[in-house]
Amino acid sequence: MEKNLDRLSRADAATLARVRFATTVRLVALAAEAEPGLRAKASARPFSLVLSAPGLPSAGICSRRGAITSWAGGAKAPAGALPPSLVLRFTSSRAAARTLGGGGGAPLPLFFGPGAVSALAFFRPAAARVPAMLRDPATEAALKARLLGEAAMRGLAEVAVSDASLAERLAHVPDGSVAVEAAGAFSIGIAKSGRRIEILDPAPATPSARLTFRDAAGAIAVFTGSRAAVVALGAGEVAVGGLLPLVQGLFAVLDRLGEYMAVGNEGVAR
Amino acid sequence: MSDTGRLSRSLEIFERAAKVIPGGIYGSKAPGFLVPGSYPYYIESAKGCRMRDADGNEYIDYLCGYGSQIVGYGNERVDGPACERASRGDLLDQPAPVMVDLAERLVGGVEGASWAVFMKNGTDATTLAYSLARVRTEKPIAIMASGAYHGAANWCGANPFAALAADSASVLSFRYNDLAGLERLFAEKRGRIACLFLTPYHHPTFRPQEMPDPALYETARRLCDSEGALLVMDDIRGNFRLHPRGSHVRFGAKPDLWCMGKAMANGYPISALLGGDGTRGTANSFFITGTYWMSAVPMVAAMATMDEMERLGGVPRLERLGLLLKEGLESAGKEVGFGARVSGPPAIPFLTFDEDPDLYLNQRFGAAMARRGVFMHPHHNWFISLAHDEDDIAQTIGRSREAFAAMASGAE
Repeated sequence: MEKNLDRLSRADAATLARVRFATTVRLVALAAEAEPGLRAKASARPFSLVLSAPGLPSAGICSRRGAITSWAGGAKAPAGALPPSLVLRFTSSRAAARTLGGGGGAPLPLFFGPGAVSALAFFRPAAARVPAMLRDPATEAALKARLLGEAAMRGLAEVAVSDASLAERLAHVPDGSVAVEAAGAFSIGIAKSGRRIEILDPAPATPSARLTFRDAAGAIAVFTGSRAAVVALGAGEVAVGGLLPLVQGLFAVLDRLGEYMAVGNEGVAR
Repeated sequence: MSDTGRLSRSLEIFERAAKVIPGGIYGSKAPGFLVPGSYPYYIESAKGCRMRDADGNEYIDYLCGYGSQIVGYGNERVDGPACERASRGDLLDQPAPVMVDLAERLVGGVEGASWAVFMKNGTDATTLAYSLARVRTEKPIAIMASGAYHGAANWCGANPFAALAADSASVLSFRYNDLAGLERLFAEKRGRIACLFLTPYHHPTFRPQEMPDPALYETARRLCDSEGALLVMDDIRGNFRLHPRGSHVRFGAKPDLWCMGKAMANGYPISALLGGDGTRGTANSFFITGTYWMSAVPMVAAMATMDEMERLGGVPRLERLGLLLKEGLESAGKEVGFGARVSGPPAIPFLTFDEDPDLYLNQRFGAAMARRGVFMHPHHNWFISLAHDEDDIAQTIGRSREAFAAMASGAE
């Protein structure tokens, strides 16, 4: 895949933007759960914030009564979510991918309600805080693993449905559910049906397959690409049980997600 | 549950391997295909039906080098002549006379065959079969059963990447034993079908094995005849474990081409493509070669293996041992409440659990058996060899009883 966002095909740029929509809203929500300062900003006033770009399914985040929820991939806002207080409208998929990837630019803010200012006051620092949390050695391994795991699963769901090159591969992968877990860090469920991958929260108690990291460090190593999943498997740092062809098939989607995540902004591959 | 202490050297070697070999171990031998941490990654030596891993643990082996061992590891009656041939030269400028001996023996033995060519791996044979079928019929399409394995080539879907999709675009599949589906596929693609690939029976990974519908081969032959397509029997896994004259004889099939390999030379690298008179002309004019395809040692080993199979009791003995294993395992499972079921022909068994299509129990059982010194793959069919005997089977069943009991109590 092309590594420069400017040269990425329109379809790939749209997939990348979907991934960044989904991971941004989820990680911002998790960051607010983890950091009291962000949580306070989110709780200042109830709001609902929507990310939008032409041709893309929107993603959103809602803060209400101390609870922060997020949605993406065209999914409906969860029950109880407020109507949008603020829509951040990007001019194109490419612009969305660039801005949310830290490459500059700004969306057009459309104010719809009294929570809009609070939404903006929360979202800007929270979105900036997520990459800093991931880089910061002081961030607890369990939180880092959770952020990376959630980002990987959200990205997986978007890439699977949006990247046409995976259609053939996914047709060979059996349907079913997977629980992805790291002891003491996170437990995320996904369900694959055809090309569609849905996030299950909580993870199913009896999934078709389980992918279990021995610890947070093992999950971080695999999700950041510093350890190949197949090698981590062999070394016992991650265990797979149940319907293996399902997990193996999802590894291929994760590999493709890794290619998207390696796309850089300004002519230099990251 | 991992067992890293017992397998520490395997893991140590794997860590070294991961630095210089993609994935550490690739393909069907990759740790992820087994139960990582419970099975050995490296095998140091083997004799008969027993092998020793890199840590010195011994196993009764039911994978048999993925089926290539049929008269036992280190069989002197095979290795002796092979070593003697090696001392006189293996890969020569021209073929050694033994190539003709082997071709005559296969053509005389495999019912319906009238010519043979040799290569190294099963994929070589199936790929050549597909090429010959396309040339012979001047049509592009191959049909195969979904889930069937015909090799590691792109055309048969081993690597379903979008960038390689064109390589397999002419390969279509039907659900095994779905005769109406097969008829429909032939009708839809009439005039464009080069060949139908079938394994003697269906042996997909991760699933119970399936014996052919009694009408499958009659239907397949009729459809191929009316289309002018070739029926290709991929007998690489069944090879001499189902019938001494070729697995097709057991099921009354009448193929045009036969792919053979694996047990053919008891682990020496050789495979073969055999054909009937109808395909001889195409084979005559096709450029068939590979640097090592005419090496003499595997051909000598193949001749010796066929002698040894006969001497050791051949298919009837394999069947008897396989039945003992099947009955023993199923009954040991039932004793503690598991719906353990062994599918496939007795000489190529595979155990699954009725209550667990996701194979968690397979993985627990395989791991529990590996810890008890029995190598039974959790996801791929097993193989009986003529080096196994009643005592090996009895020991295996005894250990399975322990494994099932441990699983039932959650203490494995």
